[in-house]
Amino acid sequence: MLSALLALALVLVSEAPRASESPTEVVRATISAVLDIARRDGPDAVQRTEALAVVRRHFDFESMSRRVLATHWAGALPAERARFVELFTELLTRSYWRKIAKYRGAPVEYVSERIREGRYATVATLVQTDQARVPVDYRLQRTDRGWQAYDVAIEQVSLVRNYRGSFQDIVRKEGVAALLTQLEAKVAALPP
Amino acid sequence: MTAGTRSSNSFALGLLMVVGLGCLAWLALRLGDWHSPFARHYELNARFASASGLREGAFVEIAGVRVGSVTSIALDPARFESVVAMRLLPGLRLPSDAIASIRTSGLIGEKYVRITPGGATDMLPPGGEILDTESSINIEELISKYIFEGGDK
Repeated sequence: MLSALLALALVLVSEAPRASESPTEVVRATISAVLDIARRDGPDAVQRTEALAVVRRHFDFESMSRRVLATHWAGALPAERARFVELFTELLTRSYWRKIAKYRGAPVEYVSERIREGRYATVATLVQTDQARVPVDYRLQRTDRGWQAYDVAIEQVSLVRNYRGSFQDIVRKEGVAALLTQLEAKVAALPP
Repeated sequence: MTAGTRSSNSFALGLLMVVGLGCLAWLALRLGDWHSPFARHYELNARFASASGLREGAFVEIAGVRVGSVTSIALDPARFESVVAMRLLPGLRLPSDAIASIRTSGLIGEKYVRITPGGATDMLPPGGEILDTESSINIEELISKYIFEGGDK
């Protein structure tokens, strides 16, 4: 009973918005929490749900989705926006979870942190993969829930810009509804 | 010939000269890509880890349309990154989450700046900075990296 209460208290403490944390601390805490979960033994689905909960606290998937849909965000219906955020989050987290779960490389190296205009930050990291040391930059913005990531750039290629390009073509030709249908199919095709 | 017709002939000639010169001046300005000093251009800056291959005068594109050019490329000596100043069409305004990327036209063509607008409702003010950027991708460096660092599995 006592241990259950303690566990609950710990969860609540970690759930609380940590507005005072620096961008690097936010990124470091999120990555190490996710890697810890990935290294534990247990059913994959449970681990993924747990990791997603951690990531959701510090990744602003709505802001990311707005940036990705870009000029089409304003024209999308509220229900379409909500569905897009849901599907895009699912697509990203599920496809990257498989890579993270297999990651057994060296600890992530934190290279630099840079804050601009007081509310945007870039945290530069180096990830050692089988092939090479890959620069991964996290871009964050200050919100009332603390620093929240809205983009990740791998080898200087921005995730948001990449999806912005490919989704815009679909929306322009076929509309937001068609994009949602295609995303649904993509998510359904992901291995469980 | 009376004095009256002579002076009206001179007047017609003068008028023709004025109109002709006006047309020439207009043509020169049109061809010379001259903009009125009263039209305020939309000036923006962007910082890149590397602006390798980009030159002053390189064009700036949105959706494949040329909307301006690079006016200067300078080094920020404190951070060793490049600060690229761009001059875009007057009247244009970009959302604050626009991304500027240095890209190559074609496989080995010249470098240019491509801007993809975002979905934010607040706009970058003239003289503002595009915060999210992608540097030029150096293919040789990438290849060499995966040649030399790829082996030690």
